[in-house]
Amino acid sequence: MNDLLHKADDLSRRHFLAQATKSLLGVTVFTPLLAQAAATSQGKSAAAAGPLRKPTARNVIYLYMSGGMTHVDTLDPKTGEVAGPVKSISTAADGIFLSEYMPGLAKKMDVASLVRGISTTQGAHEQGNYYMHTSYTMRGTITHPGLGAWIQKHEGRTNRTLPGSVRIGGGANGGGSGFMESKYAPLVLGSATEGVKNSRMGVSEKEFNDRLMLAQQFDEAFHQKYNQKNVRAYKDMYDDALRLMKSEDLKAFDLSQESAAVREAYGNNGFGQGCLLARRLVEHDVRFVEVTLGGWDTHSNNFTSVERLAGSLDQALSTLLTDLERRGLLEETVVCLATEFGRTPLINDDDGRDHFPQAFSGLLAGGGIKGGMVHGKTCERAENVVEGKVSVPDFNATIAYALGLPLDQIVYSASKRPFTVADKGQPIMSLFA
Amino acid sequence: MTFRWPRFYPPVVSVAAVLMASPCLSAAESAVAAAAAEGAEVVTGHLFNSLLYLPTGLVLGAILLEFFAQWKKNREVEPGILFLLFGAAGASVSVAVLAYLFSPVGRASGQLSLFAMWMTVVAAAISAAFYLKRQARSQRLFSLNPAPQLAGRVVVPRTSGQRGLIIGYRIALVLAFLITLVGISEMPLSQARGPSLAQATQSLVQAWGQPESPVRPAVTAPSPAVTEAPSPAAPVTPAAPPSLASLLGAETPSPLAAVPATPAPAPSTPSAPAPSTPSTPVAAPPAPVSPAPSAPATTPPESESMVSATTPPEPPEPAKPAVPSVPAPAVPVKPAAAATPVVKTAAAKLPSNFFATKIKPMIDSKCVDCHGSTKQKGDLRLDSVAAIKKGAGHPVVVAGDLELSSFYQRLITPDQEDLMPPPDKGGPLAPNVIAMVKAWIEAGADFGDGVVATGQPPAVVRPGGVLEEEKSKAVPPPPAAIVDQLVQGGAVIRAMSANGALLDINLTHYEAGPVNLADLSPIAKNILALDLSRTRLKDADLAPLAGMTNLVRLELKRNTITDAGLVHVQGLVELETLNLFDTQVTDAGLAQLAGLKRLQKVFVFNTKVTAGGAAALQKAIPGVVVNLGE
Repeated sequence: MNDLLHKADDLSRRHFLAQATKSLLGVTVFTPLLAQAAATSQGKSAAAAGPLRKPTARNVIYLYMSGGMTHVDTLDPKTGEVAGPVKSISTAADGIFLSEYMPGLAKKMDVASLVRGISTTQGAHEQGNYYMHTSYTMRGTITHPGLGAWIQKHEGRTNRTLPGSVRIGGGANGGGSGFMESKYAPLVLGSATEGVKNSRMGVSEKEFNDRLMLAQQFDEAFHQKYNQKNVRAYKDMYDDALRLMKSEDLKAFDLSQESAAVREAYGNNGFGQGCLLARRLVEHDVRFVEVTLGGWDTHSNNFTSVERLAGSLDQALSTLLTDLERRGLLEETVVCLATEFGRTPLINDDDGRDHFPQAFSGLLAGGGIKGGMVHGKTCERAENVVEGKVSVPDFNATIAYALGLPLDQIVYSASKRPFTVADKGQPIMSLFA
Repeated sequence: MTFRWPRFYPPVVSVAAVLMASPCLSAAESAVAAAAAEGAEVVTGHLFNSLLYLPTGLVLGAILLEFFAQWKKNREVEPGILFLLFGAAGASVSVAVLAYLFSPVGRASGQLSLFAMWMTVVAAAISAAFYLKRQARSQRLFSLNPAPQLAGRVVVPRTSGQRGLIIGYRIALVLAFLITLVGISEMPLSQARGPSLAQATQSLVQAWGQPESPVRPAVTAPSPAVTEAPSPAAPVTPAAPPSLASLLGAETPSPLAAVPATPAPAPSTPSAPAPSTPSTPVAAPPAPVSPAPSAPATTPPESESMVSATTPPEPPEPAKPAVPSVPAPAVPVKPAAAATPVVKTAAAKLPSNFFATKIKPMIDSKCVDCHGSTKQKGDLRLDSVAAIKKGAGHPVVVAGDLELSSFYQRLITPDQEDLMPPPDKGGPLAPNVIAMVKAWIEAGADFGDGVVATGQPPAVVRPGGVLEEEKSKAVPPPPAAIVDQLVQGGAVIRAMSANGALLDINLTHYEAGPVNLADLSPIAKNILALDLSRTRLKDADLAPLAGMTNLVRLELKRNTITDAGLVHVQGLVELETLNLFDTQVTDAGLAQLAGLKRLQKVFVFNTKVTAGGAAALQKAIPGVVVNLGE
């Protein structure tokens, strides 16, 4: 209070007049209080949500297995009827077994941890995908942002030139900027190898600048007339694009900079190259990179498809972990393997497995997460979580916690609805050292 | 007749009052932000809460009467309006004074003081309204006098002066009403809890300039969680109220000058760490208490900032959404030498069979249907002591801490969805039952099983966190100007300790010219982690690193650094992680690091380091992992 009043002593004349006018005209009548009330009613405010905890990670590489990865044939192997023809193998971590489709990952289990008791409420692809990406269930009235947007909203980018979030080889269902500003939306790349489209000036620099100037002249009146957040966002987008085009960091997208041996090690397929690109981008301080591997919806011929898919996944993931580790990047990067739901342990008549939201598995590595751990356990038939049940928000909260994001800080949508990163999920603390 | 200017034209007076109040508003605004930073909540007592609504009510009454007076010209009620306005003015002055008195003791001091400012404005507006009304009335009566009421109602045309008075009066009245209404409805007041008049009295006593008097008036609110043991490391208690003398002496007058009823306290010494400030809870030092032997696996969380924050005497916030704090595993906390463990004593001693005789029967009848052997909603079972202690993935009962005990919070939450028992199953429980649970948890949540709770959740921190929290106390916070300048230039800076003294700085994308580590010298001790990847630094540029003795993690990857550069790293004894990937260092350079006994990870992929050099370092520092990338 003393400080407060002393502060009042050294008001400038300008400040004094501004304050006086404002109060006389009723401009500030209780606006500070209103803002405060909004913050206080939630118990925390923006400032309070500051460095309560020490972040252990800076970036996320999010490997998304689209279609619903079968947990029984990959991360949570079983014996007997439900296993089908798949055997389990031991791993670098004592007591942890993986499916024989994952030999590479088995060698890296000392740096990765499994979450075997995830359980979701969504059993359809679109809804499950959305839920996994946003921690909120799909609804008509609002679109929720994904983790990439949350990171940028709370902490901004590290590299101001490159986009804060990049999505490689995936659709746009869930995980966009949602109700947040569109500048937080990920840059979507169809394929890892083609780089950023249209990132080269097709004309001379002078001509390019002339065109730019012309465009600005056209826009100016409109911008003045509609000086709003969403309109300004377009301008920001242009500025970002220009900065990217002129940047040295653009070569982060260029996989030809890597040696053939490295490219080969990741696997000569879209997902493998995507993981390599993810590593390059994280190295250039892009904070959230998502790589999608599709085709996991194995209702029929499960074992043929899974052997192929798990092969790509295993090669890319194990190489990625090794590569991140030796560059010291695994210290500050969470690698996460997620999917929308598991698949039925019971093999159907088409030799396939169907949707199974009740229990499935994920993987977390790096960024302060301990290696060689398993959280949660399913029963012998892989059908029920018998220990350490984890909801989808819990899983995402774990990633957010590693990043040091304030889990309880509320961000309001335009319609003033309150949302938090990972919707009240509780991080799995046993995974942190 | 012509219009006479009164001697003190009231609008002028009220405008002056507002002008005087306004400079303090900006200060109050910043204080509000600061208070918000603590997740503050207004803590006041019964008296204040009930008095708060009086001005609004009285002004509303006056407005209604005014309508009544206009309707069919019921002039007779006009003295009543004046009476109500007089009362309203008095009440708002009282509220303003009380809010000011409470502001040093409440947790949302800034909010309350801002509120006090506005109540001053309200008081001025009401007084103005009162004065204008009286002027208008007396002038009207005066103009009626020459023509006494012979023929019933005589409609005398109003003069322009009268019209002005009436318009001014109405504006002032409506303004006062709106301000009080908006202000009060937006005050997130705690209802009838926490420190009350006794604390206000105490702060008053302080304000009267007796800081050294060892008077300890009884604090009305029982505060069992707060230790009475004075702690040598107790941080600064909330500032004592400023003395009016200093206020009046200030260059800009304070709004309180407009409040006539303010007692004039003698100058006090606010900087003196008042030896006895019972109105403010003794701040617990961030005591690294060794984990409770009772249940280390369910160690309750405590955000790091709370560790150093002042412990509120009355923690529960019913309005808080039932988001339990992040549960954390029990980290075997390294006891830091400087820390004094706080001895916590349960204030109210309950009989050891309290749980068995009072709490258990309540749980059995109210909770076990859904949280028992048949159903385990929310993965929570409450049918045995072990199950209660286990909680639902996070602890539900935390001895001595109501705020962290969701078992209690769910009983009192206003959120119908979170309320336990659910509204359709008999919730909420009777107030006396809730009070019983509260008392039990406050007294240490004794299950009667012989396991004595410590009464305080151990500080939960990330690995090495205790050390860092201790370290952060020893380091003065970085000057904001330097940090701002770095951030402007493109540095990415994250705070790594609750008080913001320790920093993680990433200079990879620094744009404002080449990175010059000498710029960091003023905050050298603040740097816990430093990322210099791809900054084109040369060996000689690394010299300022030697001063960053708190450095735990250093990223030098992708620079043309040689062994000569590592010389500057030799003295960084706290260093745990060193990334030399893609540099020019050799085995000889690595050998220089042998003195860094805390080193855990060294990355030397793509350097000239050989397996032999790595092995040599691993021999010199037991436990270090040298990653050659093979």
